[in-house]
Amino acid sequence: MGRPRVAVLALQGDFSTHAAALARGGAASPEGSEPALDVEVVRTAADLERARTAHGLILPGGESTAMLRILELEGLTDSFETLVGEHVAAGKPVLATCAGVVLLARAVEPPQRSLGLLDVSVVRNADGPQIASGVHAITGEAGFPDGAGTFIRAPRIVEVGSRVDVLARRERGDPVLVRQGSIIAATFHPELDEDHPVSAIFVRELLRVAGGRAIVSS
Amino acid sequence: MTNPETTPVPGFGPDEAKVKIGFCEQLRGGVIMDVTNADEARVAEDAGAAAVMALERVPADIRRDGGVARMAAPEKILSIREAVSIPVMAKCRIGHFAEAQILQAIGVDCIDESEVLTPADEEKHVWKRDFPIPFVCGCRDLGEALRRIDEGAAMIRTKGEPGTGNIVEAVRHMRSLTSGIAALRELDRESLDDAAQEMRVPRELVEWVAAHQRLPVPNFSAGGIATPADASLMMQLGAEAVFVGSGIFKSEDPPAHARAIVRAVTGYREPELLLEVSRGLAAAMPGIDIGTLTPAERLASRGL
Repeated sequence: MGRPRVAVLALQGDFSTHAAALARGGAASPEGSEPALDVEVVRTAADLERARTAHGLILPGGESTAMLRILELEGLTDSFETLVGEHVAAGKPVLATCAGVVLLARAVEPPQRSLGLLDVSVVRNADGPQIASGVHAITGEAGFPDGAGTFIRAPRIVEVGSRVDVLARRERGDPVLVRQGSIIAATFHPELDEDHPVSAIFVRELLRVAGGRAIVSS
Repeated sequence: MTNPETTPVPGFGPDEAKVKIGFCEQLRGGVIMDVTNADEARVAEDAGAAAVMALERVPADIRRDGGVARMAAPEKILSIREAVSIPVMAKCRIGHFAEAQILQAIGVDCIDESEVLTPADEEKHVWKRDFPIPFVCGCRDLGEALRRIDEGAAMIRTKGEPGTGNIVEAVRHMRSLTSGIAALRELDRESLDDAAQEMRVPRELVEWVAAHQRLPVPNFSAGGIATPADASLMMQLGAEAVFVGSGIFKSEDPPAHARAIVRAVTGYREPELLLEVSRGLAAAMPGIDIGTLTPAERLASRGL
C-alpha cells in the first residue's frame, strides 16, 4: 500500500494553508525529513478523477460563490459532486472549513447551490464584514476539548439535523464544529492554528482509512 | 516545534496575524476586480471574482481625467456592498488615515492604501497596525514590501503601472521582489543587519524572510493586467492572486473578459485552458507604452 493521499480542492481559497497544516499536523515523519502523506491539489478534470482514489478530501476556506462559479465555468460541477459523494459514501474523511461547510450544507442562506451532504442549515457570512472576524473561545462537546477558533467572515450554522453530532460551540451557543459520518466540518479555520485538535482528528481518520501505515508524530 | 506557517509575523500579535493575514489567505488563487457601481460588482461576482474593489473611477479613467483622485464616496461603496456577498475592498490615499478610518467605519473588509489615488502624505504611509481590519499595499521591491508589512500591511501586491493595460511594470516589480528575497538566502548575520538598515525595517523581519524565502503575508499582483495571458504570466511568476483594474470594464465585453481571467488564474499552468479562454474574446482594453509616460504620470513610483 502506498502513502496516504489527501486531495485538497484548490480552485480558490486557503488551500495552501491546509496543505501546510497537513504537513505538520501529525503528518510529518518523526525526523521531520519527509512528510508521511501526499497532498494533491484539485483544479482540473484530471485532478478530480485522480482524487477519487485519494484517502481523504479537504474543502478549504475561500469564497464559496467563486468556487461554485469556477466549477460551473470549467464544466466540473457534476464531477465535483460525484467526487465528494463517493468519498462520503465510502467513509473516507472529508474536512470542510468555512466556505467548505457552505458547499456541503443542506441549506444555505442567502440561497445558493450546495451538495446537501451535511445535514445543517447555514447563513453565509453571518456576522457581517471583516471587522467582526476574530479569534473566539469554543466549548467542546462529546469529548472534544475546549479551545479557540479563528472565525473569518464565517458562516453560522443555524440548524442541525439528527444525524449530525456537535463537537464544539461558540459561547453564544451556535455549533461551530460538527461531524456527520466521515465529514468533519468547522465554520472556523483550524488550518490557521499552529496545532489545532481538528487537524489531528482529520489526520488520525485519514491514517485509519489509509491502513495506518504512516507514522504520527506527537 | 515552531510552525513556519503561523510563527508570529514580526510586528503582528498571534491573533492579529491569524485574523488579518488569514483573511488575505482566503483570497488566494482568486481575482479581485475593480468595480465602480453595483451592476459592475454583480458582473464581477457572477464571473467568479473572489472580491471586488469599490472605486469612483477605474485607473484608466483616473489617468485620463487627471485632478485629485480620492477615496470613493461612501454611498457608492455601500451600494456595491449591498449588491454582492463577496468581500468588498476600497482604496484610501497613501498616508490618508482619516479616509482609512471612514472606510473601516463603512464596513469594507480590507483597505487598499493605493498609489492609484493621489497621495496625501509624501513622507508617511498609514500606520496600519492601528486598524483592526487588514490593509493591502503596493511594492516595487523587497524593501518597499517590508516597510509596508512593518507598518501593518497584511497583504502585498507587486505594483504594475495601473490603467495602462501594459504588464511590463508588474513583471519588473515581481522579478525585483523575487530576486530580493533570494538574495537574502546567502547572507550572514552581519549582512542581514546591513540589509535591514538599508531597507529601513527591523532585522527580525528580514531574518524571517531570509529563513522562509517568502514574504510573511500573501503576495498578489496588480496593475497592467489586461488579458488572461497576463494573469497567467503573473501567477507563473509567483503571484498568489491578481487584482484586475481597468482590464475588465475597459474591455469590449466585460462579463466574458471577467470570466476568462478568472479561469486563467485557476488554470494558470494549463496552456490548453489558456488557449480556450483566450479564443473568441472581444478586444482587451487599449494599452499605453510606458515609455510615453512622463515621470509624474507613472503612478507606481508613488509611495516610499
